[in-house]
Amino acid sequence: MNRPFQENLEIVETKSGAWVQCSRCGHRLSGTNSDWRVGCVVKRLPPETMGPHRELMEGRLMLEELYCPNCGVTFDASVVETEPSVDDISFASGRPARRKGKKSTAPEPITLDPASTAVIALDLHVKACDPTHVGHELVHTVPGFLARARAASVPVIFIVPAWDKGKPEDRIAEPMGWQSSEPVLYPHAYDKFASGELLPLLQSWGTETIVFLGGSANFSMLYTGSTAARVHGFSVVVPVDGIYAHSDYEMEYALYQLTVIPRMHDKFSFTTLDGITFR
Amino acid sequence: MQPNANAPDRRDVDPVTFEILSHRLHRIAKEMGSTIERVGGTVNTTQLHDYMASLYRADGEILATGESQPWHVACGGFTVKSIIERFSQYDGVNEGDAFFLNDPYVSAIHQSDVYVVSPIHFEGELVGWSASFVHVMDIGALSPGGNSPDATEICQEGVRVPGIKLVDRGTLRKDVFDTLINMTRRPDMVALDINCQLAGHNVARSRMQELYAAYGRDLVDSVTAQMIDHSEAGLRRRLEEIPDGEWRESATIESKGKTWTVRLRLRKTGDELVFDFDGTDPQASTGVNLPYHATFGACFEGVVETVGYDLPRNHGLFRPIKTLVPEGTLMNPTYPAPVSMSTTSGGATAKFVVISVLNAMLAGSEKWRSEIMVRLWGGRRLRTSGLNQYGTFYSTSLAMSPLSGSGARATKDGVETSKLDFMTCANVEWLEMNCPMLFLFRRHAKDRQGAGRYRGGTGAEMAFTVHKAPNGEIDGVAYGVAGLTNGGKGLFGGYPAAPSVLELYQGTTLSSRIADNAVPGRMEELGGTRTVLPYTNFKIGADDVLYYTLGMGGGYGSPLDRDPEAVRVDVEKELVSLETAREVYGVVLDRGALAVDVPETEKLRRSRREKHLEGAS
Repeated sequence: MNRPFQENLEIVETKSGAWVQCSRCGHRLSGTNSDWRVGCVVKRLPPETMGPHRELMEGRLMLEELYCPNCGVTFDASVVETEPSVDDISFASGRPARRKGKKSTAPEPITLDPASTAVIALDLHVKACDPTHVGHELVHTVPGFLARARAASVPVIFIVPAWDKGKPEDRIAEPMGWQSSEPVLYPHAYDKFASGELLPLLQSWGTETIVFLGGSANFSMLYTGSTAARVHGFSVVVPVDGIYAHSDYEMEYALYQLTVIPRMHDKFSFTTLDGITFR
Repeated sequence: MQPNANAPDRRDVDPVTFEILSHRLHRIAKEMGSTIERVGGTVNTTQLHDYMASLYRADGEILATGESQPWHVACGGFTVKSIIERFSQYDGVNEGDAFFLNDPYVSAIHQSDVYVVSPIHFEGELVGWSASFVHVMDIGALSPGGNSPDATEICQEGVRVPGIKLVDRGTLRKDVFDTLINMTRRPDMVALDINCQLAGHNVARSRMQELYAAYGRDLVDSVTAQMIDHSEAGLRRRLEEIPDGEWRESATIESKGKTWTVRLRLRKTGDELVFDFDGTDPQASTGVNLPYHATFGACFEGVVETVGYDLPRNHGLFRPIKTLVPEGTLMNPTYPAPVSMSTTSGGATAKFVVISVLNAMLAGSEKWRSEIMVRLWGGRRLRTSGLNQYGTFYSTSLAMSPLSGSGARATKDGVETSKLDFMTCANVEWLEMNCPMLFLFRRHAKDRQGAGRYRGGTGAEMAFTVHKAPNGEIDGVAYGVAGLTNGGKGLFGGYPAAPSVLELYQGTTLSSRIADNAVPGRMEELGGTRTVLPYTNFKIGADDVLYYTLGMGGGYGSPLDRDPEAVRVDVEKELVSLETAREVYGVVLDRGALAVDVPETEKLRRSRREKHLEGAS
């Protein structure tokens, strides 16, 4: 049964759940629990697209239009701020300024529902046990959190780089207490959804929120976390002491980036390992 | 005597009597308003309809509202309740009393909007109240007329009265009256404003007493209680028909590099609505803040104008609404935050976000989506003051907001230069006769509406200069919603309107053009230096021209879906240019015959849609 959602959009109930779809061509954009906008083609256009007398907006505001990716019909149009230019970043004293995103990355306590939460541990395999490994500190701090998660029946997935698969290095770091029921995936991409195995696992558990651990913050966590939020509609929790990067700059850049992904910054929460409580 | 909120009010009433009495109460409220307008002597009451007149039950519940702005009706009810509470501690409420209140930290919206409330007694018992407000001509604030961009705290925004007895058992307290009016710049004008309010209350009291005498207290009170129940039941029934959900909207005012954002989340569950302003910016040190009771009033007004537009307007429409507003924010400021620009800035923004989320709610209902009308935000406002051509001080609102264009509707275009918020508009001749101003033009503004399948209504643009001012100049106050996004938003692919602006052109060639008998039609012809005005006080001198565009409505649906024939008509009426027809609507018109070139239009629109998907993966 279809019911209207807004002009050119409708909600359709199917056996696989409720979907938001284009009412002109039937293209499905997202489940009703996700943001339908992530399934759209988004274009930013100059203010004069709306007609004359918009010259005061130039350089500050743009028109953002959302289209159906299948038939091109327009779903929405709004005026948005022009994104800050790279020139705005100051490199004084050899270090980037701490830029303020649309949301603070200051850690805040958060309470999660175990029934709809999953943990993804990135690259916390035996290499991390090497004291020279950039993420070595997590070998000592993450296990306690994993124990709490398991006690609350939160599923855990380990991810190991594809090039280590089949080698002695593909084992999970012993302190992590890996259990045979916990999947280990070896996707060959920084975006760990790319191999197609991750999403069905999360969906089968009814996952709505993902906690990311491990690293690197500016590669696997950034790519996988942004896909999780933007494409698949998950909420993403980042415990800032549960992830690693090779430098302060890379860590800061990665966290900042999560706060400025258009329309998505509210999908990300920043906390600490101890700041996460399971209901 | 204390109000008797539990007076006998439940008795079987036959439907015919119910209809006759409920309409009679509505007519009494209207007559009270007409009295204010006819007895009034200032532009605010006689031309702009900047007043409210309504009736309340003995406990302050809204009974009948006439043709008044709903948020003022709500604040009138809060005023009645505050007077009941305050005067139960003093000398009580007596027959023939009238009370004056304009404190925004009690129940007013800003000091300029002066509330007068009067008890209505029948056979010695309190049976109801009448309440009115008039936006008085001055209130002794930093800027003439009240709206004060430079005020940083409420103490700079004029006389502030939390409730005082103005008429005692039918006798005007002249000492109080003179004290109040003498704290303003125009005591004579403010006296006219207050006196016409008192006249309205006298009429309302007489008519209500006649009604009670004719039908008896039991019957009238039964009808008033059932009127409220009837409205509540009607609204709840409608809300049940609409799917539950949650909708969000935000809007940002901007001036002099500062921004103030209002955020709203509407949750609908069953037959209840919760408006939650959590996340709204902290209160400002500029008078754009909106007191809490007015924020509630904005939610009430939004519900009345959307799902409850044809239900009798009374307290029943209050009951399904809950409003959550964090303290210390733009929508619930704490003392001493200034509020003098509240109605036209924070208030206009509150109504904009409220109706925007209600529209989104209606869009999910097959039955109700056709009732959607894109909300006009509000746009800029303007006052002028100084010595007029007769050598006396004047201060006036231009109050051109009724010439704004309304937002598009789900099934048709917005209304051109429509009436906004119950107010009406002063005519140019009256302004030129009473103020040292000369209008160069006032007309529909081309190409400024929000485009869409149904386009926003066209608003007005105008320009004026100073004329025969003894000092050679007059003062201006720029207020209203400031910022480049005040054109609001379109819906579902419709575009926002162009920003509403106040632009001061200084050092123009106007006087030489007038000397040459050349009537300027476009600002480009006049030269001069252009300044886009933020919230500010400013001066208009010789050869200066003030250019003003009103707010206009956003569009509904994609402009590429608009009927090409409708675009042709817009071009013919000079509301839309040929260039906009082609570039925005994708409609190709033959320039000479002004006919739609159908094949070229279809080709152009097809290519535009294909372009939407270019580069998409």
